[in-house]
Amino acid sequence: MSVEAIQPAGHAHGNGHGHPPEQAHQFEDMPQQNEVYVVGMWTFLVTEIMFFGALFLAYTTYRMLHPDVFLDAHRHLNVTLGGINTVVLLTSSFFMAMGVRAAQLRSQTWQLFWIALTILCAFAFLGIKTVEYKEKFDHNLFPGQTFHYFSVGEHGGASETAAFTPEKSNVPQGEAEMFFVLYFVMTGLHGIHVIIGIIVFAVMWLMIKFKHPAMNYYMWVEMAGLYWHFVDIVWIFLFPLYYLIPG
Amino acid sequence: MTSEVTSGHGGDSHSSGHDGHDGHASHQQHRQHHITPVSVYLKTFAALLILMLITIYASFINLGAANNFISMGIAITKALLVILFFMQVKYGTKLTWLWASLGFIWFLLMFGISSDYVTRKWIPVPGWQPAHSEQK
Repeated sequence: MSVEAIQPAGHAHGNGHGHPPEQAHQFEDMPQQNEVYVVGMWTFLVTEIMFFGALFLAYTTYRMLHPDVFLDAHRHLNVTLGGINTVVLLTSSFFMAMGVRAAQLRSQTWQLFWIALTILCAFAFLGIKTVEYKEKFDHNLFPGQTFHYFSVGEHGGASETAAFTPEKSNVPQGEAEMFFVLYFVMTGLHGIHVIIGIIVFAVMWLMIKFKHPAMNYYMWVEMAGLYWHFVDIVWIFLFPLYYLIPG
Repeated sequence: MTSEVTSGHGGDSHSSGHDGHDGHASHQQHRQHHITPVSVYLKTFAALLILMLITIYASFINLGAANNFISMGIAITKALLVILFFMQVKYGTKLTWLWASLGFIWFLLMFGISSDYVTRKWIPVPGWQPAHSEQK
């Protein structure tokens, strides 16, 4: 009945074969199990690439159709805040890489340290993003009933609030709205991923803190790391595409 | 028993520890989990920050269409750095390499196939109103 009972004698626990407790029965050895975990995680990431990919294609299509509108509308975005957020996210990725390393080296203290820093960065990212979103809401740039587009000068987004002078624009409302639809959908979806990351890291942090036996196996942290680096990669593309449209 | 546990278990933390199963030694070595040195992570991180500064700087110089190639080229480089070093694919197995490339290959296919969109306004079709309908 028990799994042990149907195992070949050499594979049951505690009989001298001595595979590590975190190795599941179906795996030959730890490297095989690790590979399966990594490939499984990448399979999930492929699905992520697929749906973010479709959005990037939508972005490319609309920008190709209305290059002038995108150029004009992107001036509403604040390059400084976007740049800071890029640094914050890149830094968090570095922290997470260090956290995974600490997990591989089985250092509880350093895992807690690096994962906590990663969570802090994630919150900082969301905080800055909130400031940016609020500005768009205040300027009626959130797509919907109240949407009303106006142009800002060459450095509209960069020089913030005080010198904010709406200009009469001949940019079509609908096409400008499409820019902000894509902006909010893509950065919003990315933001949701950041929130999920925080939840995953917080749970892992607690499990490590209270020495949950599952966390003896470093692969959980490593897979969370893969997820987090992917979120970072999405932002690496979002940043130049939205904040740095040349022209 | 204790020593065997260490070789299977701790093999991951000691770069030299893949002595467990002699029969698969070379195979095993190839699949061994890699601990990346801190210096590699630091260099990757520094490179990412420098590339970010370059991409911001480049976006304020008007180079026409070249701007897009520069910014996307830098973004792809940054993504590769993250995938290879932070995500440790560089030290991964062949299967990991395959899986990590799959999504991006699919992405390129989708972009390639959709590129016919550019050609769609060449021939006027009833009901198709491109934004800039200045057909020749």
